[in-house]
Amino acid sequence: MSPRSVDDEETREFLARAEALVHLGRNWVWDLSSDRIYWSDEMVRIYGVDPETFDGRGASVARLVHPEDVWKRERAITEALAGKRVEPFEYRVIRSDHSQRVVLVQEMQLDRPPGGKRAYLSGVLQDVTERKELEEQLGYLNAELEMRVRARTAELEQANLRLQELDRLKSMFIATTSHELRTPLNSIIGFISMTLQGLSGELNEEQKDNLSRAYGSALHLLSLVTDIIDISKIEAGKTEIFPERLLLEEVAAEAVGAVEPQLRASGLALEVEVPEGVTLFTDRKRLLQCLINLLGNAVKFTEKGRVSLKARADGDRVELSVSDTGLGIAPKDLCRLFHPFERLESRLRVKAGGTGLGLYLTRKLCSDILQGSISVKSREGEGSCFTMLIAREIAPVREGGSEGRKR
Amino acid sequence: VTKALIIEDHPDNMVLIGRLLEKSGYQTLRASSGLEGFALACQERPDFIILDVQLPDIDGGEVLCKIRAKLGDSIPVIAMTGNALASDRERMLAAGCDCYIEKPIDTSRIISQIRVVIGECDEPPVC
Repeated sequence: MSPRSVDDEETREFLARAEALVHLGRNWVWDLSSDRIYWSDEMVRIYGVDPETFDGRGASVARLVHPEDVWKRERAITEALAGKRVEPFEYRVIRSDHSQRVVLVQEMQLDRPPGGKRAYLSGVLQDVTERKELEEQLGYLNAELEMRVRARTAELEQANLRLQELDRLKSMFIATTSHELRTPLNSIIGFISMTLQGLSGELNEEQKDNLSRAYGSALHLLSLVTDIIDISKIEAGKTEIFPERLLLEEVAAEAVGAVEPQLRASGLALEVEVPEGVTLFTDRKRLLQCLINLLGNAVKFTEKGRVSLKARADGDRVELSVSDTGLGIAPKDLCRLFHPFERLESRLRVKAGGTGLGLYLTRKLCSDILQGSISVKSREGEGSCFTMLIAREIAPVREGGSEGRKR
Repeated sequence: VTKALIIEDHPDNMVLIGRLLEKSGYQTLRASSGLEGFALACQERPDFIILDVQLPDIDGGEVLCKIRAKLGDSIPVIAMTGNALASDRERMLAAGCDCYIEKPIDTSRIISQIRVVIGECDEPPVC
């Protein structure tokens, strides 16, 4: 933009100054003392003015600023005049043809050349209209995407809640039906055992054998149903936990007592190493159930040698290990061991019997009730060692499923 | 003769326990609901009671409370349940039952368990 006249001293000084500032990268210079503006060609294009007719005065420039943005420009000028650093800012320009541009002003600052009374305001102005539009579009797309993601997440959360609820209902259904299965089983077992005892008259050998087999099957079915009830109750969050003060050696002795008959029949040696005087506050029945299960397995899958139960207290945890010198477990089978209905192939499998639920239930009891974990180490042909690491004291009431712990 | 009252709603279990007791020389009275059992207990004053926890009208715990309130502690009560809930056990023991047996009953042990509870022999109770 050419100044109004070029012949006086003042104008020459202004032009020299403007040139110097343009060299520094500024594209506009405003001489505050004489209210004249130097604009680069680009500035002229951005503002859309006719360089021949535009007077280049501050007030004329201000009229091209969007009324809502005037304050931003004025604030920046005030700050610059006060010698403060001006943060980059944006405003809208309304051209004479009513089209709008968005501009970004940076590096706005005041210069007072030494010796003179003159003051220049200069800076870099950029047309960022296209960039703003793209940003806006991007912002809109992002917002839309975010909205969709949120809606989808909400849907998934709903679906997840529903699945959890269905899972709980499934477990409750199984617990209830299994319970109904127990009633007739109890009567089958009762009548068979009463007859086997000879209370209803003498039986011949074959009758005794028949009934013994039926009795064995009924007991097997009962233990299957009982395990299923236990598991589904844990899964439904409906397990009752009854912690009580216990002596570790007493629980260990009781567990060993429970497998005594099988142990004696097997001819295996038993080794028990349990420290005396260790107290626990936990669910006795569940702890016993785990120990009996592990000891029972050890006896079932060991043909010769020994079964041992070792325990030690370690801070707020108690470690209980049951090891044997039995068949051991192949490395490929170790990971399937704690899954439901997994019964590993072995030559003792049929003889050993079992439901395929014992270790799964033991793991569940360890984690969900005894607040611990179970792990196994084994070498095929040498034996296995199952180790339970459980809390020495469990919280009396545990947060179960949504309806857990109502009683 | 020692009179036993069996309160049990399941017909097969009733027959099973009834037979076991009769074969051991006890006389049995039978009730298939809680209220009927309570009425029979008041009327007949049995020497001991076998009480199922799950009953169709009022549950075993309530029957036990009514019996204890009306007849005192003199009649031994053996509670029995097919529902292995620890809370049932606590509840029945708190209500004052003398022994708690979980089904399936061990037919070879139940009579000796009962004898201990009703004071016919001195072995420590194993239930």
